[in-house]
Amino acid sequence: MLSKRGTLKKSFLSLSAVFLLGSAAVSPATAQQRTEIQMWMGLTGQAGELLTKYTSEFNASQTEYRVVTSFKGQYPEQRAAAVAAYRAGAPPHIMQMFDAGSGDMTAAKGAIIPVSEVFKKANLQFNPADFIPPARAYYSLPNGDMLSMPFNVSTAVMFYNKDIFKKAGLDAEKPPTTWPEVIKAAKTIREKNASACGFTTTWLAWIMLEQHGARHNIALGDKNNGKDGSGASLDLNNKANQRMVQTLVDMQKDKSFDYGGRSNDAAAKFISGECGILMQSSGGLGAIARDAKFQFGVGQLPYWPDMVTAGKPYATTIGGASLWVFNAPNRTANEYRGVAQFFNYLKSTPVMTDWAKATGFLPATNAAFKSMQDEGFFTKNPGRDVPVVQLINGRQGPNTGGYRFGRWVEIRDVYHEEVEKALQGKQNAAEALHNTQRRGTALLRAFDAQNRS
Amino acid sequence: MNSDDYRDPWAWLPHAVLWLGVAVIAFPLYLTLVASTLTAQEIAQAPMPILPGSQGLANYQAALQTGSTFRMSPPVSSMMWNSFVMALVITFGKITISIISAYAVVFFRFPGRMAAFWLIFITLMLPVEVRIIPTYEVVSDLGMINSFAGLTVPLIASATATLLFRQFFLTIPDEYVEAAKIDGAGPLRFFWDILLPLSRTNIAALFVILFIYGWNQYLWPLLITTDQNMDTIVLGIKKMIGTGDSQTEWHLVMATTVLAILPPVLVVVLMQKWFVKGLVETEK
Amino acid sequence: MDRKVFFPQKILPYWLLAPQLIITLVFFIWPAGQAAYMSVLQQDAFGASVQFVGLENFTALFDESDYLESMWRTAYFSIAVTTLAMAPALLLAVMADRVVRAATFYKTSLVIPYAIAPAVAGVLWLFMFNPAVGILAWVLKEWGVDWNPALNGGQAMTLVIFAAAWKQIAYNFLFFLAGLQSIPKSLLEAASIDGASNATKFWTIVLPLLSPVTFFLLVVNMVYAFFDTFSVVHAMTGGGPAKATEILVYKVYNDGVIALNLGSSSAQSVILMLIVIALTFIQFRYVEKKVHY
Repeated sequence: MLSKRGTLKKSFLSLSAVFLLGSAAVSPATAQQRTEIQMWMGLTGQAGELLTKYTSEFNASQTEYRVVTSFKGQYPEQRAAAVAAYRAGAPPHIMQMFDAGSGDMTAAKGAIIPVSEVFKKANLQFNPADFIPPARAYYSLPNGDMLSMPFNVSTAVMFYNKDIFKKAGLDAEKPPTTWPEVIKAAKTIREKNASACGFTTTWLAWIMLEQHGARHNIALGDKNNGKDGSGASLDLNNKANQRMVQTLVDMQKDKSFDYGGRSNDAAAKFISGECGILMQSSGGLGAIARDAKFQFGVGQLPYWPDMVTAGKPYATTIGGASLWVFNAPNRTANEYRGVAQFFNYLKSTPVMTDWAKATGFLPATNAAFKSMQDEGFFTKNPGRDVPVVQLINGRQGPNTGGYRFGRWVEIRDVYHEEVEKALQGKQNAAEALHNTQRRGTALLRAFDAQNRS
Repeated sequence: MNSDDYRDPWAWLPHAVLWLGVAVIAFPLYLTLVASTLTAQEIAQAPMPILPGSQGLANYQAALQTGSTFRMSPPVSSMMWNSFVMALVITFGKITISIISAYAVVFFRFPGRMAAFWLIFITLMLPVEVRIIPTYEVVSDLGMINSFAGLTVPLIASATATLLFRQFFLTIPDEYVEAAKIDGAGPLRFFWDILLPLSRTNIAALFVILFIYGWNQYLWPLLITTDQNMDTIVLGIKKMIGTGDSQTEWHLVMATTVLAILPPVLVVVLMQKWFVKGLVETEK
Repeated sequence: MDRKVFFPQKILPYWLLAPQLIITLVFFIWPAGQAAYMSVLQQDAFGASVQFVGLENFTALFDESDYLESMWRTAYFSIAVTTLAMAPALLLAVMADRVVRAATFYKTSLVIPYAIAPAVAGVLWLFMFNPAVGILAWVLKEWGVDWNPALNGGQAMTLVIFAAAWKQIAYNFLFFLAGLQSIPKSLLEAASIDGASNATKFWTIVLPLLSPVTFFLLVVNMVYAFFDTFSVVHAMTGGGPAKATEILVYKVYNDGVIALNLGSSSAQSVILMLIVIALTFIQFRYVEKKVHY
């Protein structure tokens, strides 16, 4: 008994020791004399590492500022963290927010400072024309200023399995370019049983609703797709969207289309050889190149020829994330200058080029794109030019500049749910889009009500 | 009562059931091990091989030494240390304050007794994700953001441990208490000399569970700390798992996961040895 | 349930309770109160414009049939997970208690899965059952099942139930085992001498003496099924397909953190909290009567 008590006493003593040791061991590094700039990002893996590397290179290149990068979870958790920090009065200086969350960011009055204004405060030049047109348009305000700075940019393209094409008797060097061609190819693949499924898609709403809209210059709603201010209405229940969904529903029946989930999961169906064609983000190229055991090709996102003139579809729109600047009561002009200088560093051609080449994201500035072209990067890496060409050389129109609606993440999920119901045979495409319109509008109205100042 | 002692015709049954259980329960764990010995391509091709591959050494070396491609993340060793300290502090903290609270609620009578118990118990009913924003504000107001205290203290109030101890304390025979009173022992002596040793198996079980709970903390450390030096190993693993289109190096993730499981394994094995042994000696 | 014999001190218990109560009040009750207060407000995410809207957030929930459906779904889900998590754990614990050879191996292998970080566990299950690359998905396909949980709601729900229960089996096993091992051997030996069979011993001695632990686990498992299963659903199905796996707690998180609709999320969590409090109260009132202390 006595030894047991002794052991317990010893444990308590060691507990205190551990606590003290622990506090010392894990206390954060003390700040230096430089002005500290906090950046929160949501990138993982190699991309996150690279961004952190750029940060330390920026820090090494000057002595006034020190940018500290923190990973704050995937974008939703990160946004919650930013909200919590903002409400507690100490938000980060910079936060990386994904495309669909843009609408929510602009809601709160005064929480965000547009990037253009940050540069103005810092007396530094900021030229929106530096960015590739779709990226510039996506984050622009009506007066031409930019809300946030695009950094990691992607768009939707089509990958196809050359081996399966050959097996089905299709021309592996001439991928389908229109939806009717894709449908025919997929059905042929199934008829010849070249694989278990014809085509699949990742990011259902992003590709089938948003990219589909941009590709044919169809609006998602009014007020310049929500970019001109609050009070916008959605317009999702149109013939074009209905046809797209109905096509998927019909094709699901014989697996010429096979649904693979709302986000990135369906890519596995392509990589494993189950499906012959994949609609995917351009960033998915890396995983395919590394893991696929077959020859594959890249093509532009298909379009419906009867919706665009003379076989010239519009450009697609961008995805990815941009960097936003937070407002805070005790922020100094000096800190904003640091932010501006850091942004200048990130958008410089050497950094942007390095970023695009290494990660598979697209060059966000025109200069970076040109630099990559000049050094022959695209000839040496076939397939990497498809998304950029699609974005930059595609026709620009009023609806290729993206959108900005509040609660868009939820609205996307509404679309997901309704389309899933249709795929399960519980409703047809028209009903699915009708419900999406109805429920989406309710969400948007609630959002506006929440943000009445 | 054990089946291996004498000639029991059913002696094989428990082993059979246990093997089945192990197969089902531990299968994902086995898969993790296998995946940590493969290359990323092998993992992506369907179906993944069931037998270990040849990349084990390379993967573990990579996970431990380079870990991250650009060496921008803290090394695995420092993350494991952070996790270890945090888990240990949370575990000791939780067990200590829960056991004395349960003791108070069960072995005494005082006004507000049941109210206190329900107040503590109710904390189980509100999911952390919901109160996370107000909790963050409180922690921030107290100036505890980005501090070790902010990391551990809010997690130390555990209703689960209190409930378990309460259950156990209710089973202690009255004779023990009466005997202590007759001997002139006060409540504190009773606690140290009699109750604590009796609670050993419960403390051991809780130690395992709470250590793992503290070890696996993700959301709270994510919000509270911005300094990379305070990253825990689970945070490190999450950072390696790409979402969106970025490629995840699954073989490295799996290798790091296996490394991350080792300390909890150690805790489980040690707890069993220490406390079960003690129980055999002190029969109730 | 109260003890009959207790200590007379009146001040000491307050000191003993103080640490836990203080931390609970500061870091739980106070934020929880604020969270509950948010349920009668409508505000933007950043707190810039705040309006009092009374019970609007609550009534809005019941306008659509979705919320009620989610309740039924959650009930089904919780019962399934609790049962699946407790019964096999008890069986395994009883078996593990009886063997001596390889005991440590069994016990370690059965508890360790609990140590896998939830983030990774969810991913592992996706791996195993992924229609394209999963081993177990492949097995299912060989058996002729058209496995596509991305499309088939029933399959998605089954998957999520199994994944959620799996994590808890290890947990329950550990506590059942601890409970079994604290049953005095002398009691069981005496019964053997009296000629009782294993089965009789189990039902008349072991199970009643195990009931405090069983009650504890019942409460904890139920709370787990209601609250902590969020991460499983989030990692595996995101509430889909077509809401097939959208349980109440997932809605709370989704609305609060992902959609930043703090008002509705707070209202939902208040309701969820009330449901679980009611269930726990019922358990304490009626089930605990059967517990043998």
